[in-house]
Amino acid sequence: MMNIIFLARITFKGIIRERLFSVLVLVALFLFFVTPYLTALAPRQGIQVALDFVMSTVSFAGLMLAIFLGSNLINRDIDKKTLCSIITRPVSRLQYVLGRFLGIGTVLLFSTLLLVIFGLFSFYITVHFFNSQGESPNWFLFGINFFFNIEMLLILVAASFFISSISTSSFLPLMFTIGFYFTGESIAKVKALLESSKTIELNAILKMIVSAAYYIFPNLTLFDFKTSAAYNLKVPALDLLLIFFYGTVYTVILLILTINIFNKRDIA
Amino acid sequence: MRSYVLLGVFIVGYIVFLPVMDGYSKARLADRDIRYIPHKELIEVSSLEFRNIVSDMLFLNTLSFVGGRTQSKEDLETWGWLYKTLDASSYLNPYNMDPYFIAEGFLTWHGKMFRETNSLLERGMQYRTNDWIMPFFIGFNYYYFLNDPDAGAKYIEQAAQRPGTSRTTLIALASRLYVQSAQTELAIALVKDDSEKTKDENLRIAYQARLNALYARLYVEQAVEAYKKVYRKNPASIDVLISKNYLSKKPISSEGGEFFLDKDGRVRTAIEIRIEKRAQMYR
Repeated sequence: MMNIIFLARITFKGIIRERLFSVLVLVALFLFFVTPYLTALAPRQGIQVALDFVMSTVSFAGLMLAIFLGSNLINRDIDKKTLCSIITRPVSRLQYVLGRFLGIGTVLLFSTLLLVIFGLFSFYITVHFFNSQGESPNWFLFGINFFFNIEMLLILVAASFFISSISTSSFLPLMFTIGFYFTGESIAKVKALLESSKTIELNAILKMIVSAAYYIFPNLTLFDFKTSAAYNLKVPALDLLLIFFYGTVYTVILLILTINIFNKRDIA
Repeated sequence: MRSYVLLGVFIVGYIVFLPVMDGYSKARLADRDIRYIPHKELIEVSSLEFRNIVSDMLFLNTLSFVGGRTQSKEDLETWGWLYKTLDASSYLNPYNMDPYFIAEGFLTWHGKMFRETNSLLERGMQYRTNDWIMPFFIGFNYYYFLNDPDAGAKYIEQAAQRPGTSRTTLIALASRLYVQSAQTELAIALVKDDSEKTKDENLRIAYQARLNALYARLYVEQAVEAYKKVYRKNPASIDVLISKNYLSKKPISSEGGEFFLDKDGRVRTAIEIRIEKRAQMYR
């Protein structure tokens, strides 16, 4: 356990040292300047638009971090021989994968929290000084949205680790993770659309591919509570529990697969 | 030093060049002003988890259209584009009320797309369950633009059931529309039901006054129906009904003076005619 925490700390420090903070400040500045502009153009629901924008920007920043950090880390360790020096110490490959995963998770948590604070600040400035109109949002669901956003990002990181464990270049994990995200976000809608469409006749093979993708890829839209938070919609507690369970199980499956493949991989 | 000079030259060149590019980009934008919007389902799938922001962007597009072109008459294609964009925007985020307001303000009055506007507002009504303005707009459109007071009354009655509105006003409005669509019994039932539910004594008094007016109208309407059954034609006036003993005295509406019969034999009051004439002036 100590080894995992040690590796997580190294990962966190390493990423922070790579000027992550400057990137986050840039995103925060973007939020700060664009939120009032967007809100001014929404006559009746400025509060909702401001909140939508803050949540979407934070999600997007997290998404970029998860995709680029997750798909790059393992292969870079292999290329730079960092992995060899780590696993020659009393650190197992399982501990290596979990440590790196926990490290990226901490970075995602840290950056999300930081951006949420900046975002709330720009939201407050916008609503206070531009006298935005709208309904009062659900702050509990606002927090829940980011909790599930991080869980969704962890699934992406786990997916990128999985593909990194079988790939020899950084390019493939990057492309795979982007594709994984796009598929996860759209497959449920695509399946529903194809099934309900009267104009598109589904051939058996296409139907099989869509069905297979639907069950293999996670439904990432479930982790999105932006609308519920901004418009104060009710979300049953059981739904939250189920989604959390769903995300955790999917992440664990990917991590187990990653560790198993990684254990068999020849690293020299 | 030389590199800084070069940098300065390029920056000056860039600044000089900016107005030229500005003109070019505006011309290009005008060139590209083909009002095309992809299918809303396609937009939904491709906007991933950012559909609310995409919805806001689509709405902003409509604002620039509304801000710049309301004075000129637009062709059907352009109004169609506005409808499709508002449809896509409200499809991606049905909870945002702004697209519905733009639809009601422009698609109806300028674009004459009454049914299309109502279809958007139906979506708003379905998702914004605590918002009375959506059914109210639909009811208004049915009554005012589509000349269907019956459907109008039904939606305004639904608006009255929602929180945050002047329930009495909307109930009174719905009952008037029911009267206009020759459904006085329905109007009575609506007002009576609400009168029984209210705990406010002042409201009950207001409802009672409305009920009295409705009962008086119903009394005349029933007399007209009885006369028509016997004589197989409309009575010429209220006086005819009195002379033939269908009415004992000349009834008076507590809200609009004396009743009279129009050329179709419908029971009317002077105030109703005045309101209708005023409405026609604005149409």
